[in-house]
Amino acid sequence: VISVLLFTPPAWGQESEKDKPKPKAKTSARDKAKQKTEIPSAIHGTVEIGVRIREIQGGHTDKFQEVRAVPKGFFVQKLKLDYNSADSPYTFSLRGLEIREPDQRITLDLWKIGKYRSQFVADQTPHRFGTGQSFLQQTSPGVYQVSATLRASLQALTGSDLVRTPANGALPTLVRQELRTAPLTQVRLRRDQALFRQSYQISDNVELHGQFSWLRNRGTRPMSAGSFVRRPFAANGIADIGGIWEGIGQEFLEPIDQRTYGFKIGARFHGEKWSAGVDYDLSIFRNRVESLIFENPFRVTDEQGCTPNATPPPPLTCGASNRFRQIRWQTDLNPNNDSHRITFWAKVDLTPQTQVRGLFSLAYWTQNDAFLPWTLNTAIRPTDWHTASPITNPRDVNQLPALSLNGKMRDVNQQYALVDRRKKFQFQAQYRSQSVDNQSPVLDFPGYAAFGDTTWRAPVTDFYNLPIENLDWDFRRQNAEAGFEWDILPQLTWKVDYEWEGWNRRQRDVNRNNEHSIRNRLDFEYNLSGGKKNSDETQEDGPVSVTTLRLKLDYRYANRRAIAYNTQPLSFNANFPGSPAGGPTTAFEVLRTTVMNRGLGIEFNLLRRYDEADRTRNEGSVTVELLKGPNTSFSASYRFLGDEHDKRFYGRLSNRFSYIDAEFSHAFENGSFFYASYSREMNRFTYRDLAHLLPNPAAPPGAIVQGVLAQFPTANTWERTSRSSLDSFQFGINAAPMEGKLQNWQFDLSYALSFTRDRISTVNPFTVRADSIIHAGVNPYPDTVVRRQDVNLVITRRISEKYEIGVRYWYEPYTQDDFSFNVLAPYVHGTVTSDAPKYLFQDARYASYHANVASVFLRYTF
Amino acid sequence: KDALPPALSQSTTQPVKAAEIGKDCKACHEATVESFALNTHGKSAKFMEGARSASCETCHTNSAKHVESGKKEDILSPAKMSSREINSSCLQCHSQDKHTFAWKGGKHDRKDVNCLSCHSQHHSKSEEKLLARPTTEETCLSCHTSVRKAQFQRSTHLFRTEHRNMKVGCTSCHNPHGGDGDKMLVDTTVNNVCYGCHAEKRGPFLWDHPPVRENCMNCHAPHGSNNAKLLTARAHLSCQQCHIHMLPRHSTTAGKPLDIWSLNRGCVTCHSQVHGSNHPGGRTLSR
Repeated sequence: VISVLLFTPPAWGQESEKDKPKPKAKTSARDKAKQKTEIPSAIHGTVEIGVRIREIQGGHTDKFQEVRAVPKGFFVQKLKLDYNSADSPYTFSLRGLEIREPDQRITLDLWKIGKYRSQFVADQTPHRFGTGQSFLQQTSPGVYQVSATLRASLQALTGSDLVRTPANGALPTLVRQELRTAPLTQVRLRRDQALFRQSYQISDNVELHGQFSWLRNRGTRPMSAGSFVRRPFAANGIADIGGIWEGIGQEFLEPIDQRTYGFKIGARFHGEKWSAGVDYDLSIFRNRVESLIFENPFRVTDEQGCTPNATPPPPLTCGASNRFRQIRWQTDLNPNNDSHRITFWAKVDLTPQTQVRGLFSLAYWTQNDAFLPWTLNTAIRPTDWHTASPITNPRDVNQLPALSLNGKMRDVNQQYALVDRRKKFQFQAQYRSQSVDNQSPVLDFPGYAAFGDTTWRAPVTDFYNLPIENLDWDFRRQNAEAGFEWDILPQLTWKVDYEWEGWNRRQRDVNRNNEHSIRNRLDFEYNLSGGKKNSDETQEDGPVSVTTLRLKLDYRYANRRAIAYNTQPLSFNANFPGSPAGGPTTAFEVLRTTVMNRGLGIEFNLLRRYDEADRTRNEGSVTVELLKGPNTSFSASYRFLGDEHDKRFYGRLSNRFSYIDAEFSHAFENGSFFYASYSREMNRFTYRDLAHLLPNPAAPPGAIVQGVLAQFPTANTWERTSRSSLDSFQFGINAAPMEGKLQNWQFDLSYALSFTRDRISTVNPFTVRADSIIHAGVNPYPDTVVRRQDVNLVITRRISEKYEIGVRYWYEPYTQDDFSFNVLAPYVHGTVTSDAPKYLFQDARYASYHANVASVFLRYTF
Repeated sequence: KDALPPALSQSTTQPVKAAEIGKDCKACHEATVESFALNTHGKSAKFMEGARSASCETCHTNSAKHVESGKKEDILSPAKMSSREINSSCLQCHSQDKHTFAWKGGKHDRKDVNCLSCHSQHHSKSEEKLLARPTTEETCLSCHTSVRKAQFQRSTHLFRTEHRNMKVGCTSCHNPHGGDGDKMLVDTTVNNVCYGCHAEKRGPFLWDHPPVRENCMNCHAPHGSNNAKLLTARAHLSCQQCHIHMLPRHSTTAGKPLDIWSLNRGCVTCHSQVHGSNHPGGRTLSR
């Protein structure tokens, strides 16, 4: 039927060529339709329906429908209904896209011009993560359980196994066997949102508006916890981190059932030379699953880890062993929160050339969800880890310093500008600031349960005697800009801008930094056709072919300096013992006498964080455009951005980005259109890092603090460079012949290629210490390659004034080769290196696929 | 009229201005005048009063001489004006709108983008907003070519449905007429824009992550990324740029492709609450 409709000329009332009287000019169905639409009509509409077949080949193919739906079978692609009459002040519009599919969208718009406007939007977006498999099953919202029988079996196996478990030992064999029969679960979310907006014009000078929005996000997504099943194994020593690792964490499905409600009301006032307004926004976020509890597949009895206060003292390897020995673990999910905001804005045209304007916005974000207990582990005793701990029952929320945060954050935003525009000059100045003030109370925690709730961490044991407190950090960002623009010649404009950006931060590494930048731009436009302009085209005379050359040059230099970079007071050791011969012998150390600075991150003192530290930025671009008449254009551009940081320190050293593209487009006389574009983006960033000693050999044996007396030998320095490139190529042609045999046909072909390669290289500048080879020694990384192609062919034929029929073929091959995701087997054991042997992954992930989609559609327009 | 909803039927009975739109123009520009009468501007001429009423003369000044002579050079057309003149013409009415609050001196204004760069009064190809191209996204991407590639990147906000409809479009985050924030954002800051859809990240949390609070773009590339989750760098590479932790349990390692730092979500595999935690034991953002 489709073939007949597409490839036989006369169909559904269309007039045959041979039936037409010879003298009569040929009139295509498109012409008829055009003539029809030229007559003002009140109601118009379009309905597009079709049938689709789909084939996807590959392993984990959910990437194809990650955030869209392409179901097989019947579909309603488009539904459109418009009312618009020149005799009526009303306009009505109803749109529906992808109807009854998980990514459908419906909009409704009713407008009485000059009086009111009502808009409604309903939208759905799916988000698929893949298929997961686990023996953790959700028994109630946010509670995942494992069969007690299985847990007992696995606990028995881990309890007796005192050597490294072989890949095919009893434990992994049982885990794999159970996973084989574990149910598969589709891991996916669906985002539904609706919005209603209403504006009402009270008078010529006053408008009121309001908006209500609702957003619901439901489903599951992969989440993980890095908890461990680890037991002491003295012979293992530092070469293998210590202990036997039966599991280093597991993935489960985070239940999502969240809603965000938004209310907004406001008013706008205006006069001849001014306008002003006020808006109030209320945003309410509610999470119906506020916590997540999951069971430990390896345990049926609660137990705590290897306690340091045991008698006799535990061996060195005991420090962090026996982790994850609790039955249940609980994590907090996103807490409910509210946001209130009021915004005032105004602008005045002082003269026809001069405008001043300002915006002030004050917001409060609040959150007061009840705290969860530290742990659900009935065996954990804080005093076993810290004898002076005041906590007797870490499962009792009443022993927390507060039952909730009573969190409050104030966000103030301001923006003021002055713009003055003369015939050949323009000047503007602008000031903008954001001030975030954390007004939440500071809570001092005596400790908390960690590492699978099997240890108790306290300030004295784990944090260099620094209190465990939520820092009341806040910040203020200010920007001041001034710009000047001068039309030197009719074809040449020079623009210069100066900008200052200042940050004030509290409780961070840099309390204040300043960045000054200056930018120069030259815009040049030259008419190669001598005088005529494309705009000389008129409806009656047709286009005037004029060739125009445009050249734009842009360069910006910026320099950011931190007033001071605050660090922890580590001690310098010029002759650190054990340094490899021929290499640096220096190190920074934390000593038992070191007194740490409160309110600062516990970080290596030579680290400089890239968002706060000194930076020099060079940024520039060149753009060339060649326009030949209204129909042909060619453009090419090059852009560069380079950030350089202080090379004497650790952290990011540089970040260089460059981009080049070229594009050509041409509109043919017969209405066809062709375009092609290519771009290449390159990004290279380098940073320096360091592996400190693990454990610290200089600390006294048996001392609990030994694990945190970090030492940073320079010899253990390593550097890493990531060089990623993205090649993108697209072309398309749209042909809609205006006459001839194909005058009722329309062809649309497009192709897109996106090819990414990420190369990571890591080097050791020096010979690393013998006791740190695993951590400091570099290893080669394989390249990561992602390639996506998209071929889309649509052939449409108008078969009558109101009907069009078409076919569409869509081919999308996707290749993903990424070492981070290639081996996420549900139970990774013995197949990869020792550091990642036993993770219980869901295996919900994306991989390569080939997708073919073909559809036939019918479009009815009235 | 009988087929219309009551509200609409009633509207057509209301008195309208007697003036015929483009009466003198119609003789030569019939199709243009007829289509103009149906769009927002044409309707304003008929159903609105005073300065807010837009007729042919509002944009095409000096029309009397043109009617008399019939010469195209005798009438002023926005298509022949400079960018500043075009914008001034449109802003006669539209400067009162909130969405044009920061147009003057804004990014587009300073780059000589004018109203007709995106909109077409008489040859609109869009279903709304009188755009010169079929969709908002096509309009924006025709100049912002470096963003176009994001549509096909590994992770992207500019994803499209099967029929090429964009769910999160350019105007979801940007206001092309100015905006309240830097980069012509619809809100005052990057984070405030993000909280619009991701309110769960707003907090405040007991344990906040300062760079997250300051700017989502410290870690994410909002248009599109070569990495998963719109990350500017692979997860563990991103974290290691700022963290050389002094707690030996988390020695920052040079790493191996398959070690626990590199697999899956990298550091976030364990520190799953990287945006902030409200758990009393969540100091390290792991629960």
